[in-house]
Amino acid sequence: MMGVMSGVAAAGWPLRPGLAAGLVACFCAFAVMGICAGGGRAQDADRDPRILMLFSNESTQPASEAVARGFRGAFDRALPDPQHFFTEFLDGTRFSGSEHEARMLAYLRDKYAGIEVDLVVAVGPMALTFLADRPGALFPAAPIVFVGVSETSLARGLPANATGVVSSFDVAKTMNLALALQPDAKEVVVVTGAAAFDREWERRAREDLRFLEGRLKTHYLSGLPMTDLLREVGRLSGGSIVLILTILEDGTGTQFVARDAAAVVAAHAGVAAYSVYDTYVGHGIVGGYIAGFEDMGAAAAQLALRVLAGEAPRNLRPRAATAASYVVDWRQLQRWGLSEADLPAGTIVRFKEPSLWNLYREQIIALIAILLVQSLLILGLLVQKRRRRRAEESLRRSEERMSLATESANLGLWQLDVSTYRIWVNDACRTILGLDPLAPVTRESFINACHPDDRLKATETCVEAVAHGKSYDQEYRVVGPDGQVRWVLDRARHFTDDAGKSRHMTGVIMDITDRKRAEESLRASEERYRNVVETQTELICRYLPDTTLSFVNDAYCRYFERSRDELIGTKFIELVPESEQAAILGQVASLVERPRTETYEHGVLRPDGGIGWQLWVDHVIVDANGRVLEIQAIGRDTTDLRRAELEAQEKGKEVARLTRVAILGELSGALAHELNQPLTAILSNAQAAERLLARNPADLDEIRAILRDIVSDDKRAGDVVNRLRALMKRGEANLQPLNLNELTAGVLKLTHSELIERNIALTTRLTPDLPDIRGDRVQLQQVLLNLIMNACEAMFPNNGAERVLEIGTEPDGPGNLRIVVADRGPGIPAGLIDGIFEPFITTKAQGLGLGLSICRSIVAAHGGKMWATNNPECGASFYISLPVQVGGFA
Amino acid sequence: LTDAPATVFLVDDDPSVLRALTRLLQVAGHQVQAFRSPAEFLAAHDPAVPGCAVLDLAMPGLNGLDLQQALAASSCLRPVIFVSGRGDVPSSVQAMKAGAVDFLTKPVSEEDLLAAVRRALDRDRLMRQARAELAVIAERLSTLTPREREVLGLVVAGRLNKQIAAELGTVEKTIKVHRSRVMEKMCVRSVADLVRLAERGCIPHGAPQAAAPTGPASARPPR
Repeated sequence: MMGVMSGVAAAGWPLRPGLAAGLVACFCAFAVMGICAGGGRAQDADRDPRILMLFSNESTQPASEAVARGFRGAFDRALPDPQHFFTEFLDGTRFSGSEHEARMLAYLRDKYAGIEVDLVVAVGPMALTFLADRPGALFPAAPIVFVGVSETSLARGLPANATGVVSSFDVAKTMNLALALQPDAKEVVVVTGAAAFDREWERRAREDLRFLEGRLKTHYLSGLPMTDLLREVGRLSGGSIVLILTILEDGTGTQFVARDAAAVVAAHAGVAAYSVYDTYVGHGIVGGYIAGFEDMGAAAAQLALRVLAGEAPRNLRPRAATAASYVVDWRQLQRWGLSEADLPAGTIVRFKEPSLWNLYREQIIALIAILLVQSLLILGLLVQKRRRRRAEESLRRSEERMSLATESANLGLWQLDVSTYRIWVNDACRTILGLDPLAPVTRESFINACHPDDRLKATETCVEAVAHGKSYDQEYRVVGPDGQVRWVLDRARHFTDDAGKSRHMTGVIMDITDRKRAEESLRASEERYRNVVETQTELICRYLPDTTLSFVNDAYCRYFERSRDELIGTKFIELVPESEQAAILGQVASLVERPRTETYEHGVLRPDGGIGWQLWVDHVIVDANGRVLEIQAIGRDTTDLRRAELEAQEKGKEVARLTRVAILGELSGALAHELNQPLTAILSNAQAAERLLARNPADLDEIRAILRDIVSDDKRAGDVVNRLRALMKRGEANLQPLNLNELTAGVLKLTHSELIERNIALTTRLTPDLPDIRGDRVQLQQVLLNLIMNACEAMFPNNGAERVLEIGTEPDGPGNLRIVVADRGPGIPAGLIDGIFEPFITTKAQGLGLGLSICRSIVAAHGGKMWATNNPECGASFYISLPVQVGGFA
Repeated sequence: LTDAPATVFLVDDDPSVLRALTRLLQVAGHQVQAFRSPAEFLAAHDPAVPGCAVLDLAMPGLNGLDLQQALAASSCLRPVIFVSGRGDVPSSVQAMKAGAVDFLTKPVSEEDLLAAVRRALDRDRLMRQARAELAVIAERLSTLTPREREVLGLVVAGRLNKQIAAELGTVEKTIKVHRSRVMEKMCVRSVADLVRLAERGCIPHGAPQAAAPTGPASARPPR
């Protein structure tokens, strides 16, 4: 057995005289020696090379085992003596730090003091670092071959006498595999442990998975305690992919064998797990892009052999492990229901249960072949039979189609032999003309079928055509045996023989009754439409974009008392008052610009010289290309309606005025007082003056002062009267810039005595320097007066101290000012707070409920709004908000 | 008591009315103090100064009726004339019930105002005189011993010396002595004078246990 193996090895490895020297005892090896003789090496030629494999981890690590197996597998074939093969384990994950390293160094130095090691194989980055950090401290003469060290670990530099196999774990390609299998995945969960090695993996994964950004979410479960980690991965469900890297230590400090940890995680995960580690395959992960540890070991062995053969390590560039490949666990594919068909080409499928196909391939092929031949035979027979049937079928269908065509076209055919006057007709022709199906057809029967009114003309046409050898098309009516009248189209063609002699007429007769009826009804409908348009009381016209009238109906003519001829061709804009022409032309232009249907009202010059109103619905008529042809307009006279509206408006004004008057009536006592005050002062002053004049000498200075006072009091009385008159008068709104504070002060002057009379204390909060608003002084004073009187009445039941009226002016958001009138009455009942401004809604026993609704309409006419709220403690606040006059804030 | 001239205290919130009325009253020869509000008036008011008050009925804060009540509550008996812009019945009734001398409506005529002021000042003067007399009587009463007061009461009630002696459990002679002391202390010569004084000073008739008034503070206007 050994001999066979060595032979295979020798044939496969054309290497190394040094090694050959170790095989002197084996007869098979002479050939090898012959081939390879002539190499050189510092090592003694007469002894086997001594090789030390220094592992980063401990001996039970599956990866370590796999590398060792691969290495020795390759080496053993050339190096049979296990005596010269040493293994040491740094156990660097569990024990770390300089103390441990120093201990290991001392231990190894002592242990191998008497042994000359020819080559050190460093397995894993920690072993390499351990050696590289202590150049010459251990086995100074021995070159180093490393394995299981990633490129990133090499970045820190390499001892001169070292070469090795660089592991390339391809996280990205592993993800590609995962995504090929699970294209719907939304998230990648990357699992790593808490050990430094694990952390390094996490860092690298973050770097390598950057390409997934924007495509998948990435989530890192790093350094968690194992129980937590298992719970987390157990929660995952569809749409997630787990990528397990290494867990050498978890968050609680518990050490793990990476493969076992991965197996536990994969077993608990609710979704499929992937990894880059060969050793995990078969332990629960689906797979990954994997370089086998055994292969790495074997590759390292090849390098080791070359180094032992005398090649300098620095001439041997560190190389990548044998090409990695996609590796999957077939059982896991089944477990997660993943399709083998989605695997990238060249994927190695492990643990696949051999199928029947694999077991009985040849038998199956034979069976299929036989079945195939039989099937072809049967198929051939079937095809032949089918073809025949299809040919028969097609013939039958063609016949059917023919007859169907003539029937469905419902065409009557006739032929007249000119020489014999014999007539042939088909069945459809008989049916159309209403001829007896069995009786022979003659010229007479043709003529008789014709409607009496059409008979002469139809016969003449036909006779003339025959006489002159002409063709014809004509429409006429026929009367069926049931007396039903039908319209037919008769299209006849004249045929001549080769000599040019008239031979026969052939014609087609078609029933066109339906078409005739449709034409008839269209005509009727047009007639009706015309009637409707003409007899309409609505005004109808059509006009061109420049308002030139192209059509007017009778009503339009009647309205303007002009004839149609007079109107058409003129521009309707001339019938419109000058003041409105520009607006209407603008509207028409807008209609033409954007064709649509629009309603508007405008004034017109009536023939009696007055101004009327018309409401129009204009519809733009466009052609197929969207070009405006003309505008159709339907309108009616709205003059009466307008007048009624104006009257209603006037009435509304009157109601407002009457309300004002009513409020003033309520105020009259207080107003009398307002007048009384100056009158009192005047009277007393005058009487005092009289007395002064009676004295000798009169105190003229005092008399002058008295007269001044009289004049000023008289003015004051006049002001009161003027204010009253302003409130009483009826008139148009007079918009002017107003200062709300002045407005408020004016109203408060009117109500001064009323408040005193009612024992109501007044608090004013007037914000100074407010911009002007634009409004009608009298109307707004009326609104405020109304609110104040309401507030007074609301507080009637209160004790003296609780009768406080607060009036304020303040900004109300940007561009608005408001007046607030707050009372301490019972407030507004909850259900009325929105409805209190509606007409006929009142909280007052004797109230009409018109005051607030008029107030609101006045404020609305000013572009403002009015609302009420209940105060937190008691009473209600009423707000009048008005827009600041444009430019008022400037 | 004070000899200060009678003063018309004028209270009206309307400055021009206040000025005009002040002028008129001054020209008519009255001493006038004018106030813009009841509060100002109450702060500066000295009840000892004789005179009357002319109050506007409707004023912000305390109105005229409130002011009248405030005066009465402080036992100031100054006569009050109301001037109102609105002569409504309820407030005039209330004012008169509370002892107002007059209730005038604006614009008030010179004759009405001056007549009312004259009446009010007369009433004030009479009231002050009556109060001054009462004060004298009370002064004299306060010098009596308890026994003398008992005797005084019974004398005023019209009892004879003998009857009084029997009632008080003593002899007639003792009563005579008491009686002459009382007459002396009260500065009267006759029993008739004594009875008149006692009536004005509100000395209870005959009731031996009744305590006599002790000072002008509790004096009441004559009935």
